[in-house]
Amino acid sequence: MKQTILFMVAVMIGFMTYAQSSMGFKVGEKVEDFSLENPLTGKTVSMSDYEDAKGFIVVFTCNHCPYAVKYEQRIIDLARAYNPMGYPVIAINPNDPEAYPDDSPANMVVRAKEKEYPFPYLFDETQDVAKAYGATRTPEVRVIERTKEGLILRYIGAIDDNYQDAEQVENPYVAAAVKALLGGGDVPVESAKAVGCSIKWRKS
Amino acid sequence: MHDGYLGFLSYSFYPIFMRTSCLSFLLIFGLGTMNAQDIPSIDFPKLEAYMTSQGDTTVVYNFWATWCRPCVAELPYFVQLDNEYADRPLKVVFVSLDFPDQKARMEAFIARKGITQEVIHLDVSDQNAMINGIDPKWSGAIPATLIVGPNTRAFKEQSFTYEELTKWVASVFL
Repeated sequence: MKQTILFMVAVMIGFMTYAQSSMGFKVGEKVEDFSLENPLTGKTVSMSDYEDAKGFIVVFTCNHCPYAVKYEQRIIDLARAYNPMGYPVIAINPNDPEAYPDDSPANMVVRAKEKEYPFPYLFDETQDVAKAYGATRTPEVRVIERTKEGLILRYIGAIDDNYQDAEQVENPYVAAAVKALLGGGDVPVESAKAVGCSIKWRKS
Repeated sequence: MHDGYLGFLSYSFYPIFMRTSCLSFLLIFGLGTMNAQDIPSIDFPKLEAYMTSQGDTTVVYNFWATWCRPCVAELPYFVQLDNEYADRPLKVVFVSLDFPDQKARMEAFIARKGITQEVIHLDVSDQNAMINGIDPKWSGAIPATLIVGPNTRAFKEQSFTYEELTKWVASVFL
């Protein structure tokens, strides 16, 4: 009997450590704030800077990935729609610029200026934020709600269900999540996957 | 990009014989590239149907795209793998996730690289179902590789060195 209990405890501990070590914050969990540099301004940006925000649309994205390019306008559209509603967009580039010079801070500035990004485009130099959030590819979104208990993750994944054609989207996952949260309701779809470019991790 | 080919032929000051010889050249050149394999564009249900119709053959499906540098870097290892298993019931199929409007570019790439292994173009706009259908652990990032055999199914979301690839396949292929 003692051996069985010991075994079960061991299995539980093993399972818990596995669950924590895989893939970052899960929906429903508290997330950590970050403090990342915006190459365009040279200043750091954190979620805590936004005193009036009700939540955040954090987008892991980059310059080079064709999927990110396909979604670039839609990310801008999300910012235009939800910045004024208390859910600002914050974009984070998690890639190693040595692997992809297109994704260097200097090139981030070029792109942000060129497209007049209505959101900060931050550089995750150590890639610690990408790792903490379990980001695996670009583009990929985290919708975060600010509550009395702290910053809670409400949605993980794709921006919508049709990368090819914005007009044919049937499930605008991120917009639907934000609308639901603004209305005090539950997020209808808590996570959805899409193909993207794998994050270029540093070779340390 | 390809507009230039035919554009100049419409200039009225080119004599007719120039036009004919240019057209002949293009026809011959075109035929040369047309010998490249025919790559079907299919949706996910069709891919699943294909996967279940391979009989006793174990198939290594490599998900890639021309714009994915780590994918392109490992293609030769999959070609080498396919050649190594030439006398055994295992084959490699490349599944391209290139955008539909880039399909011609992908086909040209395959022809240029001289890749003779089967290539399928997967055209899916609702990717959530496809990604989970391939493997629930898959985040959707490429490269990724799925092995499906009569008694096996294994999946890895990673880039491979040749050694890593052959080791994995050997451990899975029964």
